[in-house]
Amino acid sequence: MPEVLQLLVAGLATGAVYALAAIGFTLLWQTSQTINFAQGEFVMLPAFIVLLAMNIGLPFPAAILIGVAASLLVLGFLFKQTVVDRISRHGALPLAIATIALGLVIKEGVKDVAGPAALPFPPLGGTSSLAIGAALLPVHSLIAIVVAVAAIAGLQAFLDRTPLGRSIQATAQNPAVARVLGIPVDRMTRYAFLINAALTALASILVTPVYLASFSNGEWLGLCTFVAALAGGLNLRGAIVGGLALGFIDNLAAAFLSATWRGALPLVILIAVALFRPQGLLGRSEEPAA
Amino acid sequence: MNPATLRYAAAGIGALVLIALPLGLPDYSHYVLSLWALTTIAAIGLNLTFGYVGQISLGQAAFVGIGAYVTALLTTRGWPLLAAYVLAFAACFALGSGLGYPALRARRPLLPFITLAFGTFVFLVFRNEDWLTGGIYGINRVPRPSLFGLSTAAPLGFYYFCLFNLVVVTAAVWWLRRSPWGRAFAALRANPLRAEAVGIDTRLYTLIAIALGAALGGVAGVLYAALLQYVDPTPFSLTMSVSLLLMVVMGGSGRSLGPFLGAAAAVVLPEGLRFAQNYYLLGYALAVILLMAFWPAGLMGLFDRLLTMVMKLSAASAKAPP
Amino acid sequence: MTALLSVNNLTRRFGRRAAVDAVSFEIAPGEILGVVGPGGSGKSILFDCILGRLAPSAGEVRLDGRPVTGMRARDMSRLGVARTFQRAQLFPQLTVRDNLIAAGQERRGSLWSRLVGPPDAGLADTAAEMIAFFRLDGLAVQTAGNLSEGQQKLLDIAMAFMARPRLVVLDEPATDLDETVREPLRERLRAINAQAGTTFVIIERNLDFMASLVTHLLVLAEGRVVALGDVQSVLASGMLASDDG
Repeated sequence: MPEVLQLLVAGLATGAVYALAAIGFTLLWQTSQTINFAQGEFVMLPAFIVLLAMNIGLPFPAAILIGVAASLLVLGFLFKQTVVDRISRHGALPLAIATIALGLVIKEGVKDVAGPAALPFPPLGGTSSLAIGAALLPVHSLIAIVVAVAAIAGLQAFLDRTPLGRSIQATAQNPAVARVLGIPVDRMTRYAFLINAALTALASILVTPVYLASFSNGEWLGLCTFVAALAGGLNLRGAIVGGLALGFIDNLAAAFLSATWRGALPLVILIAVALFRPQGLLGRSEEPAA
Repeated sequence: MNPATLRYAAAGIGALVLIALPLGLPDYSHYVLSLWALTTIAAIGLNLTFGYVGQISLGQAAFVGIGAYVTALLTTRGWPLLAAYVLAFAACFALGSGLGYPALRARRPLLPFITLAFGTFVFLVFRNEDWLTGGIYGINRVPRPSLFGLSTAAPLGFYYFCLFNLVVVTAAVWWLRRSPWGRAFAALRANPLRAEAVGIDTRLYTLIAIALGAALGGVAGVLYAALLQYVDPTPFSLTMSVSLLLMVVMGGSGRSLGPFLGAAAAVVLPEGLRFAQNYYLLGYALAVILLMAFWPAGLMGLFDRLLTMVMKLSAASAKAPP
Repeated sequence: MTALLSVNNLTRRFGRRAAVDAVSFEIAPGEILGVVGPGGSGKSILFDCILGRLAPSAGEVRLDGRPVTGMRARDMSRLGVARTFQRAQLFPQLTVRDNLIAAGQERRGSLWSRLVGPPDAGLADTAAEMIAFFRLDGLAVQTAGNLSEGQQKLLDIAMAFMARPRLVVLDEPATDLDETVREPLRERLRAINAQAGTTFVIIERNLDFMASLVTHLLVLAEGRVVALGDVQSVLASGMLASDDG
C-alpha cells in the first residue's frame, strides 16, 4: 500500500494549502462581503517576491521574510486601504469587478516582469524524500503539512481564545451585530485583510515548489480556493474541511483521471453543491423566503 | 427634435460611419474592424448577463470558443454556416441555462465561480481532446461563407458580413430591451422584492438573460472561426473572459452603447498604440479599477456627465444677461 | 358564501417569541377589512406570512378554499392578490409608466408573447387610467425615483391595481400622504370596491382614514386577535378604546 500513503501525504499537503487560501477568502467575505476574485493571484504573487529578493542576493530565509512582509503591506494593507475601502462604497458589484481586474493586473504584471516561463522555487526542507516502508514521502510535503496545520491551529486558537480574535470572529459572523456590541468593526476588518495576506503568502511558499513559479498559477489555485471555500459553506471550519477534501480528490484525480476530467472536478463539485447543498457542507441552512 | 428621433438619427449616422470607415484603409484594418464587430457581439451578450440582470459570468470565452469550434467542425465537413449559427446558438443557450439554473438556486453569488470552472474545463477539452478538436494544433481551413452569391473571402467583404451580424444583434437586443422582458430585467435588478410582489419570476428572467448572453457569445464565436479561418485553444482562456467582462464595465454596464465603446477600447485602440502592446491589457485592467473607484458608470456614464455639463453651460450662457 | 381568504391558526415565531400567535380570520368577497393594532402588534408580519414574504411557522392560509400557505409572493400575485408597501417599493430607475406596466405585464399573455408582442404589453391605456385615477397626471415619463414621497406612495398603491386584482392588501396607505391627498385616495378606493367588487385589507394606524371606509375590523395586540367583526360590533365592544395608534 505504498501508493496509498503517498497519495495521502500529497493530498494532505495540497489540501492544507487550499485550506489556508480558503480560510483567508472566507474571512474577507464574512468581515466585509468582499469577494476576492484575485485570491489565486494573491497566492501566486508572494513566491515571485521571494524569488526577486533571492535574485538580488538575499539568502532564502531572509527572502521569505521579505515576501511575507511585502504581502502584508501590499495584499493586506494597501489592498484594503486603496481598493476595497474606496470601491465598496459603490456597492458589491463594482468591488467584485475591481478584484477581477486586480487579478489580471497582478497576472499580467508578473508576466511582464518575470517573463512567461515557469521558474523553479526552492522547497522548504530540500528535495530529499523520507522512505517509510516502500513509500517515498517528499520531506517538503511533510513540512508543508506540519507548517500549514500549525498555522491553521494557531489561527483557530487566536480566534477562539484571545479577546482580539473573538472580536474578529464576532465581526465575521455578523458585522451589524458586532457594531452594536461596540466592536470596532473597521479595525477588525483590517486585521482580517492582514490575516488573509499572511495566509496567502504562506500558501504561496508552500505550494510553489510543487507547481513551479508561473504567472498563471493563480488561475487553478484561485479556482480550487473558491471551490474549497464555497463547498465548505463559507465558514472557517468549512474552509478547512473543504480545502483538505479537495486536496485529496484532486490528487486522486491526478492519479487516475485524464487531465481533462481532472479539470472538470471544480465544475462538478460546484454544481453538485449548488443543487444538493446550496448552503455548503458545513453551512447552516438558509431561510427559504425572507 | 425629440430625444427618440435624435437617437434613431444618431444610430443611422453611426451605421453609415461604420460602412464608410474601412474604405480606403488597408486590408489589415478590415481584419481589426471585423474583430471589433464580433468582440462587440460577445460583449453585448455579456452586457445582458452582467449589465441587465447583474450576474457576473467568467466564462464568456468558453461560449465564444464553443461557437468557434462548432463552426470549424461543421463547415470543414461541408455544412453551411447557417447550421453552425443554429447549433452554436442552441448549444450555448442550453449550456448557459444549465450553468445558471444551479447557480441561481443558492442565495450566494455562485454564477461567477460556476462559469469560471466551466471555462477552465472547456479550455481543457479544446486543448486535450485531440480526436474532436485537433488539440493544440486546432482545426484549419475553415471556409468563409457566400451570401446571396457574394463571397466574403476578401477582408472587406467579411467585415461587411460581421457588420451585418452586429446590426442584426443590436436590433434584436434593442427590441428585447423595449419588450416586457427588458422591463422585467430592469425591474428585477432595481427591486427584486417588488418584482416578485407583482408576479415577475425573477429567477426565470435572470436565467433567460444568462442564457441569451451565452448564446450571443456563441454567435461571436461563429464569426471568429470564419474570420481567422482556423481555431486553436489559446484565445479562449480565462483572460478572454475577463477582458470581455472588463469591456462591458469600461463601456458602461447596462448601457446599449457600452459594449461598442468597451470593445473599441480593447480591440481598435491598441492597434494605434503598438509600442505599448505588451502592457496594454495591464493598463486596461488598471483603468477599470480606477473607473470602479471614481466613475463606476463607465465611459457612457462619463459621457452623460459631460453632456449634462455642456447643457448646463449652454443654458447658463443663454440665460446670462447681455 | 365561501370566504375569499381564510386564515387558520397562523403562527410565526422568531426564536421563542411568537410575533403572530394563532391568528384566524376570514374575508368575504367585496369586504373591506381594517387591521388595527399598536406598533409591534404583528400586523405587518401577519401579512408578510400570508403574502409569501415570510414562511409561517404553523397554520394555514386558503384562497378560494384552496391552500396557499407559504406560497411565493409571485404566485400569490398570479392568483390575483396584490399588495402595497408601508414604505413605497418602486423600480426607482424606471419611469412611472414603466413601473405601472411592469406591475401588470406578468398577468398578460404567455412568456413568449411578452417578447414578441407589443412593448407595452397592451397596458398603456390601463397605465394612463391609473395615472389619472391616482392623481399622477403629467408624471408618466418621470423617473419614479425622482417623485416626491407622497407621489411615490400613490404610485406604489396604483401598481397594485394594474393586474386587476381581486384582493388588495394595503399596508398603511395613508402614511407619507399629506392631508389633501388622503380624502381623494379614500374616495378612489371606495370607488374601486364599489365598481369592481375588489376586496381590500387595509393595515392602518390612522383610524380617521379607516373610519368611514372599512366594513369589518380586526384588532391585533401582541400577535393575537383581540377583536374581529363588523365595524359596529367591534366599536361597541370597546376593544379599540385603549389603542394608542
